[in-house]
Parts: sequence; structure tokens; C-alpha cells
Amino acid sequence: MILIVILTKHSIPQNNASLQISDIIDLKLNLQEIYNSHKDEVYNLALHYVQNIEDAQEITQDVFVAVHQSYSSFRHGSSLRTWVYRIAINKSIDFLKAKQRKNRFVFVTSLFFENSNDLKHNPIENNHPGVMLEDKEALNALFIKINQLPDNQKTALILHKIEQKTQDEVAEIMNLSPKAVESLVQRAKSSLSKNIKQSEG
Amino acid sequence: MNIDILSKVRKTEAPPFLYTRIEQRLANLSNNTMPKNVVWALSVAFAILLFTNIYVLKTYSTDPYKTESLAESIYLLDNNMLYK
Repeated sequence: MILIVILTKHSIPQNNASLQISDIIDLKLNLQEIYNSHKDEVYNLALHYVQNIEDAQEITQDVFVAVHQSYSSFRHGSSLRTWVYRIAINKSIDFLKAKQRKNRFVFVTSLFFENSNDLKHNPIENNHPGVMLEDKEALNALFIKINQLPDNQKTALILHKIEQKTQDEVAEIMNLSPKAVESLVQRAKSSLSKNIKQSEG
Repeated sequence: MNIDILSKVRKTEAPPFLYTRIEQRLANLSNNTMPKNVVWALSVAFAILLFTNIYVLKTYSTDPYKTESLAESIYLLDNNMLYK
């Protein structure tokens, strides 16, 4: 029975199993529409999370594939924009976790195999195209500190401070109350300033 | 270091080739899926195999008496004492 369930799950494109050809064409048109209106938002959000062009492109692709796969289950409870934002946030966080796991594995294997070509320490390449040259040093240092924050604080800070969204908008995207968002941003700010003070000595 | 410097991060445009890549990935996803009838055939074959195994195990479970009598009937030794 388990095998039947597993095979059936893998055999049918998720949520598209009972769709007619016209529905599939509609979905494709919808995807292009959604992509055209949200591609820049998703790409920029991913860039703020990973600060790397190639990774942001990868995340943007993941997001729109997920949008295509689960569009039929989108319940219009929230706006389409909020829904796409939520997917983008989840995909970015998942991507970073997977990358950390991979880096940890590479680091451990490189310790045991001397001839391994993998790097012992894989520094994150920061090539955020939205960062101007004159602010690059300061912003890179700040992004390193932001990357050490817990996921929800990081998300609140990125949406509020970089994406310039209001607390209400952030609250809607994160499915929290505006008060909770305010507290998250405050906590993020205080841990950042504490970290910066520590590093500056 | 001031946190307000974050507002200086500018917005950029997504590269134009991304949609083609997304379409390619979606096409690959649908190509990698198995047809429904093959899935059902495989599932039924697996279920038959599983139930046959259970049936055989239950019906011909190892009974020491049966093993001995079978060994005796075809003159097989069921011990290591070759020179008794």
C-alpha cells in the first residue's frame, strides 16, 4: 500500500492530476502573468537573503515552479502577492539551510580526505547587484551579521528595512500581528547592534 | 555601523532568461513522471508478490517434525554424525 501511495504521488504532477488540457493552458498563461508581475520582487527578495546572483536565480526558479505546482490549491484567502512572497521566503530559507548542510558536509569530508579538491572553508560569495560600490564594505559586513540572525528576525528585517514594507504589510506576509513584527524588528536591531559592538571591540 | 544603510540597497531586475529556464524545469518535471497505468501495474504486481510470500510463509512454516520426515523419506541425514 505504501508503495502504491509513493508511486502514485510521484507519477502524477502534483495538483495537476485531474486537470484538462484547457486548465493546463490556463495554468501556463497564469504562470506567465504571475511571473511577469512578481519576478522582480521575488528575485530581489532572494538576493537579500543570499546576496548572490546565481543563488537568487536558482531560488526564483524554485519559487515559480512551486507556484505552478500549487496554484490550483491557492485559496485566495490572502492576496496573490502575499502568497508568492510567502513561497519566496520559505524557498530562500530552505535554500540557505540546504547550502549550510552541504558546506558542513564538504568541510567534514575535506578534513578526512587530504586529496579532496573541495574547499576546507567555503566563504559565501557576496555579489549582490543592488549594493553600490561605495557602500559595499559596510553592507557586506552588515549582511554577515544579518545572516546570523534567527529566520523570523531576518525575514522581518529584510521586509521592513530593505524592501521598505510597512509593519502591516510585513505582518500580513509573515502571518503575524503588527505588534509581533515590531518586536521582531526591535530584537533584530538590538542583536545586530550588540554583535557590531562586539566585533568593533 | 548604522542599520539604516540597508535602505541604500537598490532594487534590480530579474534576468530575462529566467522564464525560459522555469519552463524547461517544468517540462523536465512532467517528462520524469511515470504513466498512471504503469504505476498501477507495478503496484498490483508488488501486492501479488507480497501476498504470495505471506501465504507461502504461513502455509509452509518450518515445522521440525515435517522437516525430519521429509529428510527421512529421501534418505537425507539431518545431523552431522556421519559414522554412527
